[in-house]
Amino acid sequence: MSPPILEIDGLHLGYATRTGTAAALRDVHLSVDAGESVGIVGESGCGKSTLLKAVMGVMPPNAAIEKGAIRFQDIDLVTADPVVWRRARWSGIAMIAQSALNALNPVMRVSAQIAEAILAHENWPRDKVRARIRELFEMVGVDSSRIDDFPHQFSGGMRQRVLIAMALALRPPVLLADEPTTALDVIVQDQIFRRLNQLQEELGFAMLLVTHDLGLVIENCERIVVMYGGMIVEAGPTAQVIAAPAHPYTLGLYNALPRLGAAVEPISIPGRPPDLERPPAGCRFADRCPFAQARCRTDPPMRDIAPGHWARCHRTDEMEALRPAALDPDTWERAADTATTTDPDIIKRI
Amino acid sequence: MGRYILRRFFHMAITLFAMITLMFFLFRLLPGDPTATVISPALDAEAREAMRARFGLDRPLIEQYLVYLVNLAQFDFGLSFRTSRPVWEQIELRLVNTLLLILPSMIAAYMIGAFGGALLAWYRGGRVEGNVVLAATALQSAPVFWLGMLAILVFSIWLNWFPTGHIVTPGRFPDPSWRMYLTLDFLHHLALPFFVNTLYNLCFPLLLMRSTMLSTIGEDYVELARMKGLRESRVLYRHAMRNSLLPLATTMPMILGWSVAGSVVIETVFSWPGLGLLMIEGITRSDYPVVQAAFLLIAVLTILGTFVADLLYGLLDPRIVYR
Amino acid sequence: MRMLRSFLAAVWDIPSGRIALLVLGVFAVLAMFGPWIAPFDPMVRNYGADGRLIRLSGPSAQHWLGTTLMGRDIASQLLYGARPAFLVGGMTAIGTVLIGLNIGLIAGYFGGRTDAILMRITDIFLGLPFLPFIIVVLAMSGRSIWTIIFAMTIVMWRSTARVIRAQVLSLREMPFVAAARTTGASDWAILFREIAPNVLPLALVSTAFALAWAIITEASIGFLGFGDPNVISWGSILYDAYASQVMYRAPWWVVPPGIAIMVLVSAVYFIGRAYEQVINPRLRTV
Repeated sequence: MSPPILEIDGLHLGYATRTGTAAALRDVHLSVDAGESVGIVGESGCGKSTLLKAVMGVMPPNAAIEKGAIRFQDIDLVTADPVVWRRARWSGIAMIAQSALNALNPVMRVSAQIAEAILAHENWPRDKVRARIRELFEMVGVDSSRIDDFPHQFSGGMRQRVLIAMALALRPPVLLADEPTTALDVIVQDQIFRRLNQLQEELGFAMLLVTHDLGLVIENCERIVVMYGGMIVEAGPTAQVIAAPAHPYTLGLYNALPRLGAAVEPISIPGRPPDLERPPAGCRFADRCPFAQARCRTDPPMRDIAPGHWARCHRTDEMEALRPAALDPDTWERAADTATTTDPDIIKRI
Repeated sequence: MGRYILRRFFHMAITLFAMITLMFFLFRLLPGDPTATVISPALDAEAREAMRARFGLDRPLIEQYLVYLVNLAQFDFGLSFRTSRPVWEQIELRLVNTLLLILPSMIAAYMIGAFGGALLAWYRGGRVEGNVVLAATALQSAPVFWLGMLAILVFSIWLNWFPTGHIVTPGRFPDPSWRMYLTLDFLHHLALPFFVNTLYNLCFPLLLMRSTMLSTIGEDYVELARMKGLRESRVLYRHAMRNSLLPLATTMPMILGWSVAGSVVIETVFSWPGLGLLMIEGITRSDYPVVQAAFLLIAVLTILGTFVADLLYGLLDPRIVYR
Repeated sequence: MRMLRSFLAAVWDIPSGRIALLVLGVFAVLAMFGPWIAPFDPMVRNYGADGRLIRLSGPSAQHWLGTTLMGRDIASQLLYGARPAFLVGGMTAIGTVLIGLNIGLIAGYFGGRTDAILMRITDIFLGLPFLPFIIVVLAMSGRSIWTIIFAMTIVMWRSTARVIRAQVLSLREMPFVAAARTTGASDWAILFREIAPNVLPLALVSTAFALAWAIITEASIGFLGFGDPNVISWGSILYDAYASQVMYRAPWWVVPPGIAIMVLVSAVYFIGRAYEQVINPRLRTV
């Protein structure tokens, strides 16, 4: 088997704050093979966007990688010369930015914004650059006569397509996408994903999709990675994880998904994500978990469930028995109640 | 773009006209008769009337106003009470003197301020940043004439590097002409007021640029620029700084106006024979046509500055023009 | 009043704001009690034991900051000068904000022709050269402290009006305004009960900057010799020093008034900026 094109190995990342250090990423392991789609899901603040920024090497000045490696084509970018990392950006790993409105520089023509990305890595003549930009516009379905427009002259959906065109400018083998369609309506969202999948088939890039929307991942990705409180709590092939979620948080996320024609109402998980400056001991989800036990106050093990499917929980073995209870909203409510009464930290915060 | 320029030009014309009108009535309706000092009450009634007629003061206000407009259109600012010669003769070189001091100094102040502020924000959080912000605020809070006095004290009196004032060594050009601007003597005299005015005026753009940059740096497009693998310098100048220039550009007309208007003070400290000093001299000599002309020209410069800054803003931000 | 208290509390929470408030407090005390603290009558010419005028003496135990060419005590003049700085600055700032706030509110809320006319007027005032205008007004209608306040206020409202209007334009579209409208509130009620309280923080920042600017301008007017002849201000002390032609032999005459202006105005700026950080957290450094 060929090595993964992108491999994140035991990554720890912390933010320096006024009062201490926030453990934004802890022991993150993730590998992406050439051409595959991996989806990372989790609530806001779970560290999924931080992870993408870490891979791109554009963390804010108060963030620091404490431990671990980010290997792209077998080169560790963390320990490599900064120039190597800069060269790898966009030509190796490109990004479809989160908010189409703010991700484009309002005072530059979009052609100039794409051109500078190309010219930062390639020494092409002007004609070739412009030809490529036109070609990219055709690829994403925007009229190529509009390459010299300013961002504000495009609609939201168009801007998102322009961002995709920009990401594909150098045919990168890996594409990161951070909530690429949150600001758009469902129909446009659907169109854009269809185009993305089509392009992926044509061009063969690997895609790492980050979203809070489990549904999008199920539809578009071969593998799922579930993050909670800066850690990966479950990972595995999509079909496998959906059929048999092995972590209570995944169960909760799945319950929260609205389903057509289903008898059950979506259940949202009560409570808030943990305070990363003072994370709870043991399992970070324990405070909100309906199935938490005393031993959950110790670090949960990473357990293999099936080939390529693992979860970080003490009770993975009993999951079969616990799943029916998870379908009952009361189960989750009770967990929230006990959490507020047992954990003084949470009471203080509320 | 054409329509934008046209609209701005139209606005400028209205403001200019309103200013000219305001000026006329300001000088006639404020309490105090400006002519009293020139036309001595000691003169007999007939002589006084003759004097009034000579300056056109005997006609109805509205007629005076129309004559004033027609004359202005021909750059005729009337006769000086003191010399009884056309005011324009006194104005011409004064205008040049003011522009030669203020314009280069403002351009320098904005360039230094913009780059300095951008760099402060880019390398934020250090000791340097805090100290520079404190120093800039203090400088900005000091009256510019006082900075001028201190500069004269240190650089002219103690160190004897620069003259204490004037535009050239007094007596060197008994008959002021364009030739004097081409001398080293002129530059020697220009240095100190230029330095003080620049130092004082760069504080505002510096502080504004810094705070704008601090929020621009957090924008998604700056992050994306970095993700594209651009060099840091390009991210800084083409993306972060380029966008932070917009608020700076909006304030420029205001600041340009302030500094032209504020030239009164700097010109007084350095005895710099510009429009501001001319205006003050006019007031002390009760030569109101001169005061009026100097004031009007300062106002016109302010308004022209606004117009130019508006155009510049249109160039900087495509969203304005294409709207 | 509650507004003022929350303003002070917010500024107090920021270290630079706290120092600035303390500095401002010290100056306020000097402005109030300066004339009682002052060791000498600032206009009296002081004679030494030998009966000679103590002219241009450097700082000494008796005359802390030395004396002027006419033998007047500079420290006492400085203490007297705090009051006009506060009076002129404060009155102008309040007047400026009251006019600017109302014009900004009306222009921003009613929009359309009202807005266009008010903004054209604002533009005209923006074209008015600030200091020359005040000097002309003072020269023609007499030099008094009230004329200074009046002339400054008449010009300075323009910037406040613009800032407030921009804020009102965005507030106007907020849901709570629509909600008030559905309850049948009149335009004026919406404007002054719903919108005005939301622009007050911005108006307070504006007040601080107007105050700073007014203090500097008052000093400039004094320096140009157009100050109220019956009032000792920091600007007029510097004017006397400059006009004496001997100030270069007496730095103690030149330096203190400028420092006083600089420190007071800096404090006001820092307070304004601290409060700006509170209402707009994006300005905060990390």
